[in-house]
Amino acid sequence: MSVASAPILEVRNVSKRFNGAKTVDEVSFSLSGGTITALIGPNGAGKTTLFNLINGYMHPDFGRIVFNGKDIAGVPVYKIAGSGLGRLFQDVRTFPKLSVFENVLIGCDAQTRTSLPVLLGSGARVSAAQKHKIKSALEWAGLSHKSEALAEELSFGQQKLLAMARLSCTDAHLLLLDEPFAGVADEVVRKQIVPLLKTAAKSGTTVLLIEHLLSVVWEISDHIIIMDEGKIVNTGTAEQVIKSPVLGEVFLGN
Amino acid sequence: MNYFLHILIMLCIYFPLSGSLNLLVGFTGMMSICHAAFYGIGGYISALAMMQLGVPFFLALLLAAVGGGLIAALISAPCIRLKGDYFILGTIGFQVIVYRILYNWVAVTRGPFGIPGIPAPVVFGREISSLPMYLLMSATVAVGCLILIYLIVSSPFGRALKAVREDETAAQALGYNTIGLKILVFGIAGGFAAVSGSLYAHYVTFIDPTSFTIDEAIFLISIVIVGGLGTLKGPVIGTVVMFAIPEMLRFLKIPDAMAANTRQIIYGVLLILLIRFRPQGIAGEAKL
Repeated sequence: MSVASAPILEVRNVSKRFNGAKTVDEVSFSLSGGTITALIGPNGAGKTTLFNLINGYMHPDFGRIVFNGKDIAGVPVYKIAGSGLGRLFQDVRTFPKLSVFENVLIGCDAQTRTSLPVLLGSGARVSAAQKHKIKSALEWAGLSHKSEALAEELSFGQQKLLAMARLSCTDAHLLLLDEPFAGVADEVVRKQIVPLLKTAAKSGTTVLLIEHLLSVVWEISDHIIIMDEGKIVNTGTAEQVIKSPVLGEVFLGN
Repeated sequence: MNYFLHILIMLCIYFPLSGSLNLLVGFTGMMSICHAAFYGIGGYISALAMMQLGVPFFLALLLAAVGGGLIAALISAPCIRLKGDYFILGTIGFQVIVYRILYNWVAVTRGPFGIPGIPAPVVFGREISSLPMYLLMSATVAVGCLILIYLIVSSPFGRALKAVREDETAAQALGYNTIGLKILVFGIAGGFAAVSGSLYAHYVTFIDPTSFTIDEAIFLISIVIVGGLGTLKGPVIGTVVMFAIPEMLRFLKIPDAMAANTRQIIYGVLLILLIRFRPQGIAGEAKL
């Protein structure tokens, strides 16, 4: 097997129980570099729990998760993130009392300077390269004119764009996006977010997203995974999945 | 005149103390009620180093800073994993423990008898015993500490602290070692508090555990809250205001017996009014 075809992320037989109920039930899939994969399914299907397992916030009861060829069992969240895994949270999680600029700058810092001595030893100066990066990220988000505003002063949609701008500055090469289109105007989804994801994937970034806006999911995903009650019930390309009867069962009830 | 110099010296002693507490409470969002413990530890280390080991003053000051910092980092490690109110309770616990150790470890600290006769600092061969000279020295140290604190908060490390304050989960997901950051900032803040303790011990020449009680820890928290959280000038303003209040009472000719109680009442009322009408303090950025 050549190196190029080695998966970026491999989830093998992963299970997680809460109070006896299996929230994630023997889930297995793998993602190869530069692809966009959508994880769809009704609320409570276990999608966000799966993200938390991959992210390191929770540990699987059974199974293994391999990121960049390394088993992440017991690895702290910050180390998994530092090795190139970025996450967009469903509830966005910007830094509310910090300026838009600082929010993105903290993402920028994270990329190169997360070791404690380096963080402490670097001066106050923001490098020209960082400034340039932040400027283009804010331009993409349409927030250039608000760079001094506090994050909490933005609308929910703008905060989501800010969180994505912050994420884009970390140089993560695997992005877990929890509902990137929810609460954002259709036009913003089509003109800003979709092109960003397509460009990222072209340059080798791998994207795994949870999303309910199926029309866009069909358009951008190379691969689709349908989850229901903790299990993967179907996988395939958009064309394959749309035809399968499972889709209707999962979303419209039996 | 001497009275005025005394007030200025006390302000200089308190600037690193309140400034470093603000690193924890204002910048990192850690409501720590054990800063008087590190203040006391610094005073004792510095006094004992100079008296028992015969080290020169600046080395004693340095030992206090390093010792206070290490102890702070060590005792913070178990506390830091506690969330919210439990963290506050944990720090109160440490404050009480340190006070009890200072009080009961008689062989080293002389317990309730305190340590009298702490020598005045000797700097470049000159004994700093006059008030103007002590003011000059403590102001130099205080300004040095405030500059260091400024450098810390404006570095990427300082931004990372604010990220922890705003959303620790998000900071971790960006790759920040938030536990490590908190332990490190606790150690740094403890070190600055210990510097203040050293300045205090060699100024008053007598220390005993009653200067480093939980009341003092709460007084320090009040300074930081009144002045304003998460800015550099906040704790400086807070220190000046909290020291100015009792001094103004002196001019109102309130009898001594009443003055102490009146002061406590005024502090309490001030805190309540601020929290109600200006929760970010006089010059603050973050709220509690």
